[in-house]
Amino acid sequence: MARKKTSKTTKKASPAKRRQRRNAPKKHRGFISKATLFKILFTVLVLLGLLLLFLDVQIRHQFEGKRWAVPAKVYARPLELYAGSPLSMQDLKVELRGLGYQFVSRASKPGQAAFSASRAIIASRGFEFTDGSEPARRLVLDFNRDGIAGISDYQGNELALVRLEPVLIGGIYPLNNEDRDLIQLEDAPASLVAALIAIEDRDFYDHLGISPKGIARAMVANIKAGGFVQGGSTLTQQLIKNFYLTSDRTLIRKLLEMPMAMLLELHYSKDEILEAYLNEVYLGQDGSRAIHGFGLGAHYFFAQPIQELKLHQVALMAGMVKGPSYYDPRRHPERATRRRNLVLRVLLDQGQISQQQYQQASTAPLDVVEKGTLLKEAYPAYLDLVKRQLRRHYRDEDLSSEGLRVFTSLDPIVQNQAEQALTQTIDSLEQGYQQVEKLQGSMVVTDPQTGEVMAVIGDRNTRYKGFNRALDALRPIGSLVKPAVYLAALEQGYTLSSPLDDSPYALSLPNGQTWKPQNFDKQSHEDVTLIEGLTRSYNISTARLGMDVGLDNVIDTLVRLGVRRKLDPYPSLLLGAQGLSPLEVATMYQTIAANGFQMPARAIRTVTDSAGEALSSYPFQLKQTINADDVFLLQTAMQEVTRQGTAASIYRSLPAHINVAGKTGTSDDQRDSWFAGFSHNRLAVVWLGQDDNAPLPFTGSGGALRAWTRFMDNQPLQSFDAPTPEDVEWLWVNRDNGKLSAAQCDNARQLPFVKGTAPQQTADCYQADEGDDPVTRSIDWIKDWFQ
Amino acid sequence: MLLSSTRFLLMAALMAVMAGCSIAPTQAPQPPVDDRGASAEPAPPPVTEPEPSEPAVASPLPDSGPSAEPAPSSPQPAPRAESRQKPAVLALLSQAEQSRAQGDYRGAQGSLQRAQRIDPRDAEVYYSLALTHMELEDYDLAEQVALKGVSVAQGNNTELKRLWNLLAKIRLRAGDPAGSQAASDKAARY
Repeated sequence: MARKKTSKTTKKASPAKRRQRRNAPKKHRGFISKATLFKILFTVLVLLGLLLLFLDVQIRHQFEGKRWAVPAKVYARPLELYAGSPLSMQDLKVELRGLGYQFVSRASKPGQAAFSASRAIIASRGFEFTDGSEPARRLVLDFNRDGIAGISDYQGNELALVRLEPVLIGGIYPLNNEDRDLIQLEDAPASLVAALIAIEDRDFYDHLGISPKGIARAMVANIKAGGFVQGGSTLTQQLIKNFYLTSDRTLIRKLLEMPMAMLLELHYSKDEILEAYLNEVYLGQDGSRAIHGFGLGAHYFFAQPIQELKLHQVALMAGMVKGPSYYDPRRHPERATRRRNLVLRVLLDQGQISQQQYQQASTAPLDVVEKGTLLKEAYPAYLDLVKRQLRRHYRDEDLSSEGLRVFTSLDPIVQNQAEQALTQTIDSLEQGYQQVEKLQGSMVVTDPQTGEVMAVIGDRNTRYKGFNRALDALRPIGSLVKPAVYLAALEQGYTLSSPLDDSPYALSLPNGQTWKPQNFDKQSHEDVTLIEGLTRSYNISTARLGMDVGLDNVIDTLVRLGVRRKLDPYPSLLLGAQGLSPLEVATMYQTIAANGFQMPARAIRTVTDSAGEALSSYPFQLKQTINADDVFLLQTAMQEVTRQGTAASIYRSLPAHINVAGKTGTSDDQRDSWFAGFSHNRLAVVWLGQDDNAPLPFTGSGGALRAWTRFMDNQPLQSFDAPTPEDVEWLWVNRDNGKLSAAQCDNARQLPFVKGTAPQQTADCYQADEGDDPVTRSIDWIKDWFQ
Repeated sequence: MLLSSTRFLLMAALMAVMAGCSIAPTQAPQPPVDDRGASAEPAPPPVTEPEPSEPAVASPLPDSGPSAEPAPSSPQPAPRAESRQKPAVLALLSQAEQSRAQGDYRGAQGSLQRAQRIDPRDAEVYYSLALTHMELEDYDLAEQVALKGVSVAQGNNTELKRLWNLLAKIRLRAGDPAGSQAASDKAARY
């Protein structure tokens, strides 16, 4: 084939060759004939044509395919509004601020809210949820002392339930770390498009991709200024540069830019090009995350959806395109203001805005929100948990490019309160104890009835994206393990009033060492009942009890409580030598709070594709692994811990009518300070300690419990009132020796017993009497009264 | 007739007063309360309920609101929580029923989980959720959800009866006739 071609060429070229030979003496060697020139030109043209064809294919392929890797969006739970909700006006404001609502005197446009003494009017934005859409509407919320008293629409129709749109809390980004919120052209305010065209490319609607007028104008301006002040690139060229080409300033790139721009214009409408530009444009840097597109820019700079931006805000963003870091309004507010006002001036000069609009916008503040108030990327520890749970079912590249939407159970109000409680406690502890310098802490909050994780803190610097202590710090849990030991005992037939032995204890270990647990007060105690052993957190009683119950049984109970980690049957396990993460502790305590139903700690509710179609949902799952009667007895003992025991300081803050249950934990040498506890609707686990494992000058109750109490005190708590199971009865027993007693006897108290396990021994004053139940007595009294 | 109904009201008022200031164990016999139909239609507003804070007769016990209550030194048997349903939960329950009727079990599940978050003590929510899982043929989960319902319904005999009857049905479908019979027997006790 090649040879054939060659011979053909030779044949055809012969006249030219003759001419060449004839002219040779005159023009010397190296002479290029017209024909050759033509051929070269022809070849170049063919090559250029091929190149254009290639570029054309490239342009169309990329422009029509998936243009950008769209990061998955991670949302907080939507706030449910209904009459009877314990939401305070203050909390509602926190939520609305997170959503970028503007607080005004009259809420008329979506994204605005107006507050008076006991009423809030919200013009909501609406949201497409997987299970139905929530329309944008004006809501009237009336508040009383307990929360929302009533909710209606603006026409006065009562509404049973309304969901606000969920707060966007983060994204999962591709390797290039580009983040963007895709918008459509019609989403962008007209003034943004006008400003952009006015300042960057005023002939946009007239040129064919390149603008000779623009170039000329730029040259004049540059010559006048004696340097580079203006570029002649059209928006189309800028799009080509950012979208298809590398950012290197090479000649090749410059040469490719123009034909590609023209090709793009050939195939696509101005609107399509503009829409792509709006989404491609680079607007700034947040750490490693690159902010692209005006949709995301609106959130990043103003914490508002782009539709709601006003003239002074869009002018700023349009002005920033020229140099996002040079005109960064957070770092260089004056420079950014000058640039914004220049954009406004151009708009005024072109007659696009009125003098009054110009006056108003150019004297307005920048209105850029502080970075620290943005909720996107504000909860790295929670996001970390979400990502880990997502990766069980999704590939990284899908998460970072398919625009998936992930709905989580993070509650920003609860998370904020947890952060405040933890950081304030750490600060005050450091002030109180000079010897602790680098105190760290972590915290997990769940809804113990649903198993949903509401808040996670992995570092005292809550926005720090590094080591996540809530998930990864395995620290000895100390006495937090005791409820499992006592539960195992209850399962083996012990009762709350069973006497325990707290006398000194020594156990020879197979390795020749002796294990000699000691109580915190270094004392032995007499007359210890089982409930008291837990309430006072006696180590010796617990160690003896655990060894009697059997390590294997205790481990089995721990597993049924939800501990997945492999546990070694060492006696020290009974006093909490085992390290667990705060999340693992939360899972374990959740089973206790949920009446023996084990539930996985869930952070994700649903994952949808970019169109809102559900891909997977994570339903409420549970399995009863602990007998309801036994867990009821344990719950009672853990309530005694908070009323009378090591955590009694709780009720210096919490109202007396709210029942809570929990356990303090302090590891050996006080290296870890723990508290885990719950009301009916909140479960929180707090850990405090130092990363270098240095001892702390305080215990679980002196440290972690303070943060826990501070947090719970700000929550709309529901009292933990577990209904007594059918097979459980309340009996009067003697407080010291646990013997069966009666209401009128000295030192008597009520304790629950599984029916048939009542103490056999009776206290001195006990008399078997059917009528000593106060309710029965009262009913008899009423009956008498009526008869 | 008139006399007996007055008597009943007075008696009910007194009971309510005592429950309000409760120091009593829950073992006291309680009239089963069922303020909603099985159809999960929104319940009519409760009729003339005696207000605990305004006793009809002089109370033998000091009348104080919950916040003024002294801290109980130790855990005590808890009075049964009020079983009045929130309108939001009722709306979601009926929404779930509609979804279920249309065969949209995932939708029903979504509504019920919302309801559960709002009021995790409402046994009806668990009943409806268990029913949904049964229709989805996820019998293990249906059973567990129904059992959770039993755990929150303690003291509410009507709700307990419904739940145990549902458990009987679930177990039967799951191929466990013996377990089903045991659940039926349990239901018959209420």
